[in-house]
Amino acid sequence: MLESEQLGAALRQRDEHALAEVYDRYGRTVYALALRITGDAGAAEEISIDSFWQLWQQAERFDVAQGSLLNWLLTIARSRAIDRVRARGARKRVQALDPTDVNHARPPDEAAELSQRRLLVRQAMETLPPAQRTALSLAYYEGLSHSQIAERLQEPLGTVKTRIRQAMGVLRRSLAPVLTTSQ
Amino acid sequence: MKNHEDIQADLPLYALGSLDADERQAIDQHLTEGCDSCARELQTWRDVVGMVPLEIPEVAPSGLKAKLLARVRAETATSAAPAHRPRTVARRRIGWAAPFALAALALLALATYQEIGWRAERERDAQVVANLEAERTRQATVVAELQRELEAARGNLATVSAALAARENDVASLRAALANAEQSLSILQARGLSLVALKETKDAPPAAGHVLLSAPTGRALFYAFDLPQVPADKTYELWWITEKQGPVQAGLFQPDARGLGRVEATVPEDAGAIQAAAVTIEAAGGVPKPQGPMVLIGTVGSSPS
Repeated sequence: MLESEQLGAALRQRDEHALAEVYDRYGRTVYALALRITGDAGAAEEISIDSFWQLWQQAERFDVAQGSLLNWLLTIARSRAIDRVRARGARKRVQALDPTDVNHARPPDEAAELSQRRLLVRQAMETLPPAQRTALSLAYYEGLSHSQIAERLQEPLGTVKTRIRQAMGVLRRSLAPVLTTSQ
Repeated sequence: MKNHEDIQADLPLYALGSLDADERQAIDQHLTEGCDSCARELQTWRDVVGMVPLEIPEVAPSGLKAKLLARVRAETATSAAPAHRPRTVARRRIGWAAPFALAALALLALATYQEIGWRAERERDAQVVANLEAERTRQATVVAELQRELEAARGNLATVSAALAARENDVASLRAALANAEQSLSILQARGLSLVALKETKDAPPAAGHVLLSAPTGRALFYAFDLPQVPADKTYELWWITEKQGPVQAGLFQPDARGLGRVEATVPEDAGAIQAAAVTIEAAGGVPKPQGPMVLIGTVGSSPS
């Protein structure tokens, strides 16, 4: 398995296999995020391809020390998806999905690490009070600012900020085991 | 102007991208001024934000990888790098430049190369299938386990509900018993209590009863013992045999499973002295004057049995 740094280096040398490897690792996660935000399978597909394409084009600018490849991809995909939804003005319902076609198994270590993170995130999310979770989701998935969230929920601005701070604090504490190793 | 602590408190919100423009600018400025601790802190918050979408289950879209790689190859083919030119061009060049033997060798090498590639692909596919099988088996086990837990939980719930219903019944019975006891006690605690003992009449099955009569309060308590059940369209009726009005209705009752009957009655005010108490069997709902067979009788002044 290629380490992230080696993958980054291979991408900079425009190694197609490196891109395929990155896709195998993170394609499903990136697509799932784009689908969650846009609720549109076609848009999610375009956003995913565009995000990986952007990684491919800007590989020389990618710095492993500045965060993981996955984080980079998710940031790009999130921003593209939110832009798409804003441009469209309204969110479509989530469409039924095709069954998966998995072309390659992910490397086991990578898979184990990612599933540990998934587990920690889900556990942490489940402990959040619904009001905190809603505020966090509106900020993350809909890209709303605090004042927009306050308006949407008819809550005071300060309350919204506090809720998001608390939610983020819970996430950070729960994710501490993986955060320290990733730094 | 925000201080360092304010800025630090806003960093998670900044990483999330949810601050309004002016707040964002304040942080940008603070970071450009070179606050290392805030920069490190921000990186951690960005890592946290980056993990938020991991709560979403993965979705594998069909054929997306092929589309991505096709786009990359199309770009590579149109770019200048000769090393990335399509294979067909290279092969044609060999065909022009070298003898047939060399071309054949090249084709053989290509075929071998492809065969190796295919074999690797097949092995990878087999591995994928094996992994999927393993995952499916694992998930089936988890589902079965959850179903068992659900069944067990349902069973527990039913048991608890039944126990609760039984308790509620107990409480209701105890309340009723307590009310009866209080009623009996209040009569017993009054002055001027007299007791009328009742026995079965000549042709009736053996039974007994007694009346606690409290003349000053005008209240009375009647108990019957060993009375058989009557059909649903019949009832036992208690009578006061009075000096002025003859038999006066005192109350209806059905004995319980032990043959115990109970009536709380009042003493009629202007019917004169009560001379006796009697029980007859009447049509359900009772009658104003006795018509049915008398089963218990007892006169006032007679001693308790």
